[in-house]
Amino acid sequence: MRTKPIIAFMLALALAATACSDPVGSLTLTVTHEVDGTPLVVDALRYANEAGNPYLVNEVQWFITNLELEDCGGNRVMLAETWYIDTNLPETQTLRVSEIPASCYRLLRFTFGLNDADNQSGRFSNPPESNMFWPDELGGGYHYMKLNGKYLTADSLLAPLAIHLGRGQNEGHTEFYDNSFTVELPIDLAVYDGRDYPLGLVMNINQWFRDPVVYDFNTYGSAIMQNQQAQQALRTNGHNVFSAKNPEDMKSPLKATVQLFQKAAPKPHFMSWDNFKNSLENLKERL
Amino acid sequence: MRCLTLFGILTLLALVACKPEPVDTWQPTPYILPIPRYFPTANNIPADNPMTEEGVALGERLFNEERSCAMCHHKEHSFEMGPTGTLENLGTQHTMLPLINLAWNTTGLGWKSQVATLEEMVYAAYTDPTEINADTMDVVRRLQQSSLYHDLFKKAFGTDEISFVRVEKAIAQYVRSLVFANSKFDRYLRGEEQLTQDELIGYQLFVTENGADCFHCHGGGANALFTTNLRYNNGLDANASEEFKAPTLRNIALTAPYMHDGRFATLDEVIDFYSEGVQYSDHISPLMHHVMQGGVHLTEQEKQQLKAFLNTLTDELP
Repeated sequence: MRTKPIIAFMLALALAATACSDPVGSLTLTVTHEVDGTPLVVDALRYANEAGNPYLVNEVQWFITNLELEDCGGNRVMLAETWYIDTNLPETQTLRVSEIPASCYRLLRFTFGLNDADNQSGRFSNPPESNMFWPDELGGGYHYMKLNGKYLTADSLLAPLAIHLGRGQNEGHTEFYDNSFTVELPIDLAVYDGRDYPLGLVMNINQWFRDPVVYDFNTYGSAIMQNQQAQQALRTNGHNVFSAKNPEDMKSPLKATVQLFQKAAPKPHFMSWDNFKNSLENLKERL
Repeated sequence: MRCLTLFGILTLLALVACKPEPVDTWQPTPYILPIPRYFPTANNIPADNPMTEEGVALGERLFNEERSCAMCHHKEHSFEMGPTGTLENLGTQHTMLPLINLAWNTTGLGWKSQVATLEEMVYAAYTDPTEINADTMDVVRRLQQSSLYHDLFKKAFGTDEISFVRVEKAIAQYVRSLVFANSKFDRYLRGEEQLTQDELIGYQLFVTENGADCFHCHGGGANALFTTNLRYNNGLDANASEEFKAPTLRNIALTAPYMHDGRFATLDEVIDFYSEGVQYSDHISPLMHHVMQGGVHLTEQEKQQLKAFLNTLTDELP
């Protein structure tokens, strides 16, 4: 008779012990910037957008906020409230988060930029984040992204390219627009022990300039902070810019590359390859 | 009886012998660096040179010595030389940069960010043949001859040892204490003073891409240093490939001549340059959005309004 309570107690103890030692892993999220499946090479005039504008990228600086995982049961795990990523600073391109509960995860979700509630001037005190400030007169807060580079004009001159996204405004108007947007990427991640799980996040730069809006640098020009039409075009295209690399893909870069290429195969450019090569040759001669 | 006396004397001697040496417990007073609104919280104070009241005071005295920094770095010109600081007069490679708010410069000092720390900058200034051109051993010997300095070094560092490393540290501490954040514009932001209509429009031009487009490199708003402390190619010369630090625009009205080579004598000339004199090159910063049009093309009235705003960045001198 007296053994039953003891057994029950032992069972409860064992269950509690099991509950306390739920396997947890860690997650290492790595951001890569690519152009249609190949890693971005900065300062190299080797890319062309959908409109056929040859361009180069000097740097990409941007914010992710409210980064979280969603598991198969719909539960959310917050990974980071804010993540600043800068191609000049390799240490910003990796985020390691510990204490990831054991589960199967099906979604990586984040806000590109900062939504209006989070986008408050003075939020970041120190550089490099503070250098992303967006003047209050233009809506305040911070740039969501600075993609700085050059594009080749019809005259074969390298014109400044500053894809600066943030709170939008049409010049002369006082209305501001929240141009941040939510990105949800399907993933296939099972965390079942204490190891570190790699996950990749890819920004395909060319995708900013196509699908559905063909973004011509000659049309929108170099300064777009006060041009909500340009901001809206990029925001619309932004939904297709990001993709995730699952752990299996991370182990096998070749496979990942092939998959990405299939996902984001470049569409034909308006500028022919010969014209592009000629433009490059002209530029080389001038350099 | 004699044994007892002897024992007593020996005990007394032993006690005297065991009495610990008096320890010099002098500790300098920590210096609290103020952090004005929208200034960074991260600074460049090194772990081996914390700021102290006594260190700053010693540094100020050394800075103002007969043959030292104040020969060229004048307080009334934001701690640079002012209008006479041309390359011809200085004989240096570049003009001076103001020595203000440098505690928050974490990207290197000088027009090319070529000096890593303020301590190194003091050494460089003392030994450069075009600057103080001093023998550091001579500097130390001269200071060692002064009983006053022995006392000041002891107060600043705990012992009266005088070395050039300590000279560097003290002057660096003093320069870090040169905080400027009380201009008319600061008082406007604090609600203590009103700007004129022209000054307000000038500020609007400063922080808009379709205006004068100054803010990406020179801050403003949530970057109260009025510089990113980064280097840019701003299109001074066609096909020039060099990048130079964007200087702070605080006290800009006091720091002519302008640019790394002092080519502009007045703020009007600087504004004219950014308005219609920007030169195209393949190396120009992508933040110079309006280079293909030669500049931002301000009207004469807008130029005066921008200048009026820039004048509100002049601080009250300490």
